[in-house]
Amino acid sequence: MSFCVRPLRAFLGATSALLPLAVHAQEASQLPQVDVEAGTPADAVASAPVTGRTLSEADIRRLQLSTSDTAALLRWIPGVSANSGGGFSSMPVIRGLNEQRLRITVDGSPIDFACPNDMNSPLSYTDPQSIHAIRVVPGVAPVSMGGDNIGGIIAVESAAPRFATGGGTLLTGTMSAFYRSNGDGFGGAAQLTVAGERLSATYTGSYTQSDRYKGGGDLGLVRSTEFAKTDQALALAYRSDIGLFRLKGGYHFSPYEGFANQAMDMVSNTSWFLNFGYEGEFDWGSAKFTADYRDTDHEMNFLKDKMPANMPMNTEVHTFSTALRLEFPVSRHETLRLGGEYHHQWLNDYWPPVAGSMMMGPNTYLNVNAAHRNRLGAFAEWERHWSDRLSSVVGVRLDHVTMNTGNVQPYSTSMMNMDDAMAAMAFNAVSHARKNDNWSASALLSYAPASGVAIELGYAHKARSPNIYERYTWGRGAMSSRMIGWYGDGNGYFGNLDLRPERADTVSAAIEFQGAAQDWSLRIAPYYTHVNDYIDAVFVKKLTGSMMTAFPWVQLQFANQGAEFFGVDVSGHATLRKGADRDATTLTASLAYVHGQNLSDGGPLYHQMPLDIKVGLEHRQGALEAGVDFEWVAAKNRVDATRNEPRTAAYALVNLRVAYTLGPVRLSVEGENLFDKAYSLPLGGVSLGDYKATGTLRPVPGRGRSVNVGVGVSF
Amino acid sequence: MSLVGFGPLAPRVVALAATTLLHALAVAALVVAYGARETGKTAQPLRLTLMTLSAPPPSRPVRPLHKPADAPRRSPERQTAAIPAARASAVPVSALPASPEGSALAPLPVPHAANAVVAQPEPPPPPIAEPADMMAAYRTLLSRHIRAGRPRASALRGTVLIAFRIDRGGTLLASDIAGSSGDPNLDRIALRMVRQASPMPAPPAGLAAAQLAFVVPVAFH
Repeated sequence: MSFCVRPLRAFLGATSALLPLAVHAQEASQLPQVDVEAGTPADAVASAPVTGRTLSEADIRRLQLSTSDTAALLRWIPGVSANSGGGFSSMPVIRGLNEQRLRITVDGSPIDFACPNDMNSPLSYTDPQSIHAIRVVPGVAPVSMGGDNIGGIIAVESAAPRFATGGGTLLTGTMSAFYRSNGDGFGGAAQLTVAGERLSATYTGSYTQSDRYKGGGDLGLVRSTEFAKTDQALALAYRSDIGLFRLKGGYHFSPYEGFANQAMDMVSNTSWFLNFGYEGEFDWGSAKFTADYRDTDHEMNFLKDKMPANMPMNTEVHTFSTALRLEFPVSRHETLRLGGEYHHQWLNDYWPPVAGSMMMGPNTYLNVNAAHRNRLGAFAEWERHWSDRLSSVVGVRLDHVTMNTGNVQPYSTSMMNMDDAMAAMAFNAVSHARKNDNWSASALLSYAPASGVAIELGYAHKARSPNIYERYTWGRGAMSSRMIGWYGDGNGYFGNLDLRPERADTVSAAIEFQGAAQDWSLRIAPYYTHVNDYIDAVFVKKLTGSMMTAFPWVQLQFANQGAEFFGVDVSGHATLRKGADRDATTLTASLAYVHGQNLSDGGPLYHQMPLDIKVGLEHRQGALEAGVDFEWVAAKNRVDATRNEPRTAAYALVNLRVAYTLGPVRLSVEGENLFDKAYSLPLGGVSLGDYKATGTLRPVPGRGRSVNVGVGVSF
Repeated sequence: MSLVGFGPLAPRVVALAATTLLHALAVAALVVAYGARETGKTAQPLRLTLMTLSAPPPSRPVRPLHKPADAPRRSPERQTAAIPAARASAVPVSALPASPEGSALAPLPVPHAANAVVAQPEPPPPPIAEPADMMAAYRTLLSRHIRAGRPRASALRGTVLIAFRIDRGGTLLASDIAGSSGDPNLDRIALRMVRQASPMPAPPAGLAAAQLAFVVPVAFH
């Protein structure tokens, strides 16, 4: 490779010499140090707008004891909620817009849909024990943060590579382990970095597993909630004279994950990836290039609570994406960003025949036959700092999406499969190729009129094309359609070749006040989003069992609807007492309200979080940290009638936690749901694992009391 | 996983290869275009040389960027910037004599030094009231001017020492990295910031030409 590196290095070296290097060596005066740091919030308008929030490593370490589900961590950010999936596969929602409408990246790489129930959601490939930070920016996010979404971005980030300084070798790492009494959950993680001045290698590994948990009060066992998984990754970074090169490879395996609100469970999920990245700085600006590949093999069937039954469902997905991003500082206060992106998803979803089954055989059910979804995106964005107090960033992007899939087939064409056979015939009779040109634009204005005050106004028009399952699933049988859907409602869904891309217009504002020395803060962020062609579902028919027995489910078809969302996120903190060093007693509070409305049928949208208020009190004294968190969630009475969404009652939870740091060791104990409150998850859907065993349909209960203990060590 | 599972191979390989090639071509074109332009401008090739920097004559002493515990003391007649090389074997540390004013040609240094130190003047020269005040004010002005064009979203951390020289109109004549942070990307960001700051505020008429060379520590927090 040196044959190309040498000339490249010569060119890059030359580009960093804007001016002749020969100068008079003469007496030089030293200027006062120039400090480059985020001054007012206006400084970070393009990278960390006021509207967005970041969960820092300290936040994550504090919260990870209670959950192995990364999306559940994000619930602590006002405006973010999580639709229940498996024990580590919740699907995040930002301001009412669910995961399929978000761009979720892990270390900058997007992870594709690889299951008709979205069991292996992007965040399921992350473990809270190993995450450095999570950045969340809602729908007005600058277009440079990614296209093909209308609801915003979630960026999970590992720690930046570390290098030794001053010669020698850097050896650093962390190890952690935990135990949760409710469900006998346990796990551990290790991170080890070995680095010289130029080369850095970081290994990250984690394992976690849990049995089924118990609901609060007298709600008893919640079936189909067990899980186990491991994630392993090795990241290499090389700091050369021409920039930083990164290579990261990883492996994920989950042998089982129960899904309380799905007809199926995950019985195996294997995924590996390879990410390459380059970042270089030059006189003309900066360049960033990434190329990623991921391969996923996903298998569904039934775990013990849904036995006896057998119905294998397999999904294979390959993803390749590459992106180039260039930044040109066209003046001292302006930056022009240009970028291009190519994303390729290939998906095969098939259900092998079941020996001896009249219904599931004799052929393989081709749910999605070698579909692909390619996206070519390009953006231009202009960032301008009008002064230290006023900044703006405006951008436009185009995403060209092409999709196609092969012909499909049902298990058989017998009478038992007649609905599917006719649907397959109709599906195969038409062309499946689709393409969309999706324009997006965003504008953010950030103004800090005085010290400690920041105002941000944003507008964005965003678009996303339907995903493969929304467009290409076709089975109209009661059983086959109930295998499709990530809503946890038990209903059957099938796709729609005529779906148009969703187009959302969002206006948002955020105003933030901060007291001197950050003793207090208050942030208020209202928003409104109108979505044209929102992909919802419309009623097709009531479902019946094979013997025409009554089912509590309905069959729905994906369809474009009108929708709107509005609400407000409020958060703040006040330091009640401040001692030496970091000693302090701090009160935190947040409130999130969202209202989602289907403008086509006039009813409430599905899975909209009711009013959620959180209050926390944290006390830190030397090595001791103690905190109490209180959460109150209003009753969910605005429910989607189309899906028979269950109502849930209001509830209040109290968590108590204590941590003590002894040198490099941190010990923590937590009482989660301290009073063992019985409650139902407002976004949990219906408990199908329990229904199979008891015949009683109920919303999925939340976890009852759990005593969690953890230990972490850094070296 | 099998190749059958991977789907039709040929179109995918072509698409991926074409996309990667397009990106590579875009980068190469930019690099070549700028490289050719800048190479044309560059009078001399990049050279690694240490530069002698004098402490300012005014009453306000130059603050060491990272003062070693046993910082060598130097004579007040020739205050030099000791710039320890990060890799001493590659770039030997030496204090070169200052070139005579106007005679030109010692190249500005590009030492890849982890810690650049400008030695303390000792004892401080007798204060010369007006030029000293003028110089102090001008240095502060320059520093503020450079900071005004700072990058707003760099996630990198470290301190870079940039040396530069301006003419009497404030136009940048030369600039380079005098003390590396250890991260070449961060060094270039700091250098770019200083270069973009040109033209800088013109120096006051009372300052001698000898006083138009500066070093500035740029600290990314």
